[in-house]
Amino acid sequence: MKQVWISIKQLWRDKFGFRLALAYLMLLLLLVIILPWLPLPYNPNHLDVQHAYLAPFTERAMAAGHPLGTDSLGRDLLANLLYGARTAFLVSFPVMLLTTLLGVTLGTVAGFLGDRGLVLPSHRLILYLVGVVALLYYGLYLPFQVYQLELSVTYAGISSGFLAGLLLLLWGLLEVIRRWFTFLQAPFRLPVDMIVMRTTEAITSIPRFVLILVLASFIPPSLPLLMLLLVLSDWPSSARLARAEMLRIKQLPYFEAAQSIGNKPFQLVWRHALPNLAGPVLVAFTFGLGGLLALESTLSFLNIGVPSTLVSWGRTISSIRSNTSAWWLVALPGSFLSLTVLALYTCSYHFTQIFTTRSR
Amino acid sequence: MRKISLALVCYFLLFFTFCSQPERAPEEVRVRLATDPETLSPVSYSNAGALQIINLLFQSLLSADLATNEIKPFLAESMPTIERQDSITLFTYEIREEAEWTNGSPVTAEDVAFTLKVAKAPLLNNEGLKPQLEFIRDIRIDAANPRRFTFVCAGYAPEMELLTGDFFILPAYLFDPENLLQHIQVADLSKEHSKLENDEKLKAFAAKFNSPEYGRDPNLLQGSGGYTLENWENGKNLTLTRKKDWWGNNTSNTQHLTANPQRVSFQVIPDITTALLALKNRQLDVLEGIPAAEFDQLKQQEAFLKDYALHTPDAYEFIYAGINTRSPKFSDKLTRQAIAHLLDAKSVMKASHHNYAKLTAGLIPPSVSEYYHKELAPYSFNIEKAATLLKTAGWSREADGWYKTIHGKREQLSIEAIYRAGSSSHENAAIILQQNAAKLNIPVQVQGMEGSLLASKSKQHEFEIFYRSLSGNPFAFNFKPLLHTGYAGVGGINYTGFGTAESDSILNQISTTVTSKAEMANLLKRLQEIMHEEAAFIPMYYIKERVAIHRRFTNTKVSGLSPNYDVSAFTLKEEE
Repeated sequence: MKQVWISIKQLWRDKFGFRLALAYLMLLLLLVIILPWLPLPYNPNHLDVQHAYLAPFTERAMAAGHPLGTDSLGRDLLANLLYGARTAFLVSFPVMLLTTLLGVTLGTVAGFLGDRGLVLPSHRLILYLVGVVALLYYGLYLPFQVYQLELSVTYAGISSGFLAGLLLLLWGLLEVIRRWFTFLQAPFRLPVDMIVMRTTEAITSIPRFVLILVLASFIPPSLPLLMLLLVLSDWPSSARLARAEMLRIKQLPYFEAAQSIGNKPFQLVWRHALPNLAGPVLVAFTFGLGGLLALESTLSFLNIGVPSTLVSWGRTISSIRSNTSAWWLVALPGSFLSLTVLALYTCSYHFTQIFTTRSR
Repeated sequence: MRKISLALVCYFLLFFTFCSQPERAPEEVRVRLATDPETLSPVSYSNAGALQIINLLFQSLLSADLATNEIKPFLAESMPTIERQDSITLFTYEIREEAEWTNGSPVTAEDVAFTLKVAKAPLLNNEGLKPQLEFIRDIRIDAANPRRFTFVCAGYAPEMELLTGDFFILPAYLFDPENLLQHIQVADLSKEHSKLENDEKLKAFAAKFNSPEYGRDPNLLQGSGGYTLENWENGKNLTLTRKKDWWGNNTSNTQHLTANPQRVSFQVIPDITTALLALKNRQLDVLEGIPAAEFDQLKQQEAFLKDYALHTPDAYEFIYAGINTRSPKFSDKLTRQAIAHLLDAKSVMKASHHNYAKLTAGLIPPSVSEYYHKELAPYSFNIEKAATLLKTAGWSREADGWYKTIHGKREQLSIEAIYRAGSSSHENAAIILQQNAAKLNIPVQVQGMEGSLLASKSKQHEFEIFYRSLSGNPFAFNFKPLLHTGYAGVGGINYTGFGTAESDSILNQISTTVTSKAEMANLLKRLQEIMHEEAAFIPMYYIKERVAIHRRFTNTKVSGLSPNYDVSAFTLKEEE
């Protein structure tokens, strides 16, 4: 990680483009953070129907207190631009973080263990499989239903207690019967790599837009749901990258040396593999962030999968459809969107350059 | 090298000549189609664009004359004679003597009988038309006059007159050359269908009729209308050509039967912005549904106005809010009235239609002055009144909202407003309600959803407030399915659950016993009063259509009725 920080500092010193892009992103981030304390005359969802479609810097716009103009419902463009930036970061940053976390974890494990690296006694495997199913049902689904139906928390407690009891009972039962059925003690090699790779292939084979459209047809759109969907559909790219890097690192002499002196698997991955992975993952992170920003705006533009009250650059741009002469509704949020994506891609480009040179 | 350059220049010049717009006849009318029709089958068409095209190919016995917005006889010689006998009603028609098919053979009562068989028979793709003609039980053909016939109909309702004549008549010689349906009687189709479902001849006909050719083939899509289908390129355009010596042009006293333009070309342009661009580039002669802001812009452009005339007819489409009366929160009419005062129809109208709309207090169009209740004032935006009504309804205002104990449970007044995603006017209405309600500390959750999900939630009564649009016509005012409590069960289309004993009685009278216009007016005005008081089904405003038509045409018959103009009547202006 220290190396990554040093690389960033070096880029800041040497590359003007990187400096400009990062400065822009930092400024935008700062604006987003201090937004609640800025003295904006209107909130982004305030309607001023009497002043709809005001062009920026015109006499009427200035008099009405909307210097950058308004959209079809008289919503202030300045407030929408700033709050749109906040939404863009609010959606893309956590999603990309979670995506990277999930993808890197699964990819690293798949790359490190391969198809023959994880050996378990059969009875333990049965316990884990049943345990996962029980956890999903009693630990997640039932408490969620309790929350949705506004029932007493006691029911969620009963569900969790039942889960713990079930797992304990299963563990005890398997411990007893494995002595009678010796085949339950036989080792089972879990093909982790194959499972992860087949899952990534299955997920990437479903177009994300189609998935969002299908879900929107029967589930009311909401931001948490959209974010969950994006995480679940976006992790395969990070997983593939992490797996490929892990396979490369595994062949490096220093890693073999670390293995030979008896480091435990967790230490090997945490101390020796992950620091080497950080560079490429950072490149993929910034690149993915740009993609997610564009995707969020596209979905808001199409009003698919996102609530219509969500302040977004895409929503502002979509107002142009009912008045093509309102150029400011495209020019301003469009410029912000393009600049932000460009800044992220510029950072990603410079990261690629520096980490490729280093890995050679 | 120079020779090669010259050759290249010549090549590109030749290439670009292919890119230019093809020459078109001055009498050709270019119309925009928002979606490519799935089928042009006169029995199973599925959208308004298809209906507009089929209207030029086929004819019905009666139809609306857009010049006067009146129902007039088209294939029929005159309006039907009506005779009521106990539980049945007889509608007698006579087909015009001049009416003929493309091959020159006359249109007869046998063709009408054949059409009824196609509309009512099992196994055929006729789900759209079948319920509409369910009340026609039989057809009696006059033995002495092959053009005269009588429909035997069950019961009586005022709109039956229009319904008996409002379906396209099919040519039996073309659709069923092997006479596969001849042995079936129309009366048999009103009974149990199980026997007929095993009829071999019917099965053979169904196999042919349900094939895509019956909705696409220019050789089959030939009716008694003035046009034939010349060309159909999927997703691009669809062209109709005028028949030579069409019979409708040779009849006297039938100004409403027209086929004036030599060609009518429908251009498939799904996106309205692209369609507007085509209009501004003079590539379209007609465009309807122009967004209000764009319409205002066009009104300012002198060069455009030189070539195009802009029209704003009063359409028969209105936007309304529906409140679920079954929800305990909204079962009290005072609460619903309070919400009605927060809808602010005026602002919604301004934001969505730039005032190309008319506020309404009832579901009768204000343009139909004889039935519209003028003394009734539409709900205006009034926060104080809304607060007073809520207090009267038993709600108490607290720091974080309004509360009331309903069936022993303390409930907060919150609203979930739903609408079809993509409909900007409905979205605007929901957002405006959200802002207005926030001033009274009432939380409103706004949610756009996919059309089928909205329909399903409405049918299952899983909503609090929805916004929808409804379109109709000035010919029939039978709102029974929409407002009668008999249709308020799960699956019925009385989604809001509106209804009182008096409103049910009025709706029953309108659909069965009303004979005079004065009586109808009294009943409809009282119905509007009840609806206004109940505030469950709240009409907000009727929209005005926004249409642009090229000035080289006259006799355009611009109307509030869809498709808002009659392209078959367009006549080229004579050179001055």
